[in-house]
Amino acid sequence: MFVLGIESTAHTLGVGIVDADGKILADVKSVYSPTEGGIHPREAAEHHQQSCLLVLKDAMDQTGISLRQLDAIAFSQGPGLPPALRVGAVMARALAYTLKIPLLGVNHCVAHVEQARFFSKAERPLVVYLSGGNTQLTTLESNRYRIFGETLDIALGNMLDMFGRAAKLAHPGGPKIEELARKADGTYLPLPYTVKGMDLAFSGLLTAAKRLLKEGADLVTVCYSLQETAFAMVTEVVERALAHTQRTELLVTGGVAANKRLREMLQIVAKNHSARFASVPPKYAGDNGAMIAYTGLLLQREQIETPLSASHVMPKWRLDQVKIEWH
Amino acid sequence: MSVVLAKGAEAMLFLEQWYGIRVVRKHRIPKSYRVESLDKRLRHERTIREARTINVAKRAGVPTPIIYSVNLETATIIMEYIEANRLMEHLETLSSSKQQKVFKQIGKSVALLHHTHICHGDLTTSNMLLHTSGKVYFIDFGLATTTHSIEDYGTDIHLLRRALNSTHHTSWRECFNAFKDGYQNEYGRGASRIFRQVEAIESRGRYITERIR
Repeated sequence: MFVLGIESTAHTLGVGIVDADGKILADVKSVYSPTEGGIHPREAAEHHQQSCLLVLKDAMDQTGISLRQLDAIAFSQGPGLPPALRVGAVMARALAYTLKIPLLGVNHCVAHVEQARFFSKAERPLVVYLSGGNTQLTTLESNRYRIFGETLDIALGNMLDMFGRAAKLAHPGGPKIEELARKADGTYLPLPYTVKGMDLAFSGLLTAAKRLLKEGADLVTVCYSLQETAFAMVTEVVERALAHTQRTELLVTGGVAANKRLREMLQIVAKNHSARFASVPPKYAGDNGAMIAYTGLLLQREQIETPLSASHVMPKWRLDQVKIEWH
Repeated sequence: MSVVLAKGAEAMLFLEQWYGIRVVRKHRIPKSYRVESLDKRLRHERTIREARTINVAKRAGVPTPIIYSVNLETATIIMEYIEANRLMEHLETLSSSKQQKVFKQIGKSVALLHHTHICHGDLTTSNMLLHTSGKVYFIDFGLATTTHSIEDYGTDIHLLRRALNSTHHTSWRECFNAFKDGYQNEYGRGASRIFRQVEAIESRGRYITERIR
């Protein structure tokens, strides 16, 4: 059995193919990168339209199987940027309809979590999902990913990218900030620290960090202070959630999970609470088609198909709205 | 004599004898993962906040432990030991009508806090103790703030709803409704404005269509 997955929620157009065991046979992507500013939804969609057939062909060639051998088509139905989502949806509908095979609408957040669980083999983890669009702490409980904490305004990755833009660093800003912060001498400039129970807010921190830059503070020092503050906030809520849920596994996923400093901090907390630390392989931290294909496989096993008439994109589809029938 | 009572996210709690009485010593331990100056600032700030707001809350009529002594150098508070169960583990053992009674009382207490312009900042069932008398004690005021803004009161209630929804998903709806009742009765006029603010806060979050309620 082969499931093909299409990812197109934001800047990545990805196609992945998995077999019946979830093994990744192909994972190809093309990433739109804006020349200046952040992701422009229409430009992202145009990029996806132009690259989707090439990416699809590449992925098929890697596996050596033909389209006729596919058993189902999965696509990320949301959440994400509507124009970008539509490209993946149109592609998926066309394939499923022509090949007369089931169409599977996948929640992008669920896919990140499921792929991380697949790699880590974690049984009942507390999952920390940190990316450009999401900042959530969640555990699976009675067929739903229950959200224990999340951002009240912008996502962690989004905050880093926005700061990066203000500092005229190339997109995405996160990795650049990490690189600069590593050069710091340990001078820490106080910044707002906003933790509300297990929820977080990053907008005040962003404003204050941008103001420091404007006032002429050293960029390396600001990057360091920004990272230290933001990551300490995340680590604190993770620690609170670990103490609250008493889970013994901590699993980190999403694009920001690739940050070494953040992983280091989370590892310390996991150790303090005798929890096993696991993280998605850096290669799959960002958006990818393989995670959609894998989650599609899980849906296919439970025979949860998406009829064409219900395959409209869902730009605001939350993680906790999905009923989880597997596990 | 010193027994570890609990290991929280922020602090270690010890049960000790202190001038002949049983007390809890709450020590906010340094965190090696964060920058030292930030760590010091947070522990110092929160120790002051906790000691201060617990007293104000008590005066407002909210059951809280008595504060005996505070040491800012070590970020330690010595307070009354309350022999009670954490509501988090205990809630599911209660009958449905008892649960609602408890939450009505919690609603009343939170309204009293808000009337006194205190936001608890971390309203979860792990921060509430259920005494055999049926009284609910509030603990852990480290994230508390003094505030006059309904946005903050709304956030407080939003956090409680979130905690109920994630931790007690079988009975959270009834519990939250009982909470709302208790809150509205005590707060009186203006309560509906605060609950509208809760909706506004939740709709501002990431990817909201309509939450499962």
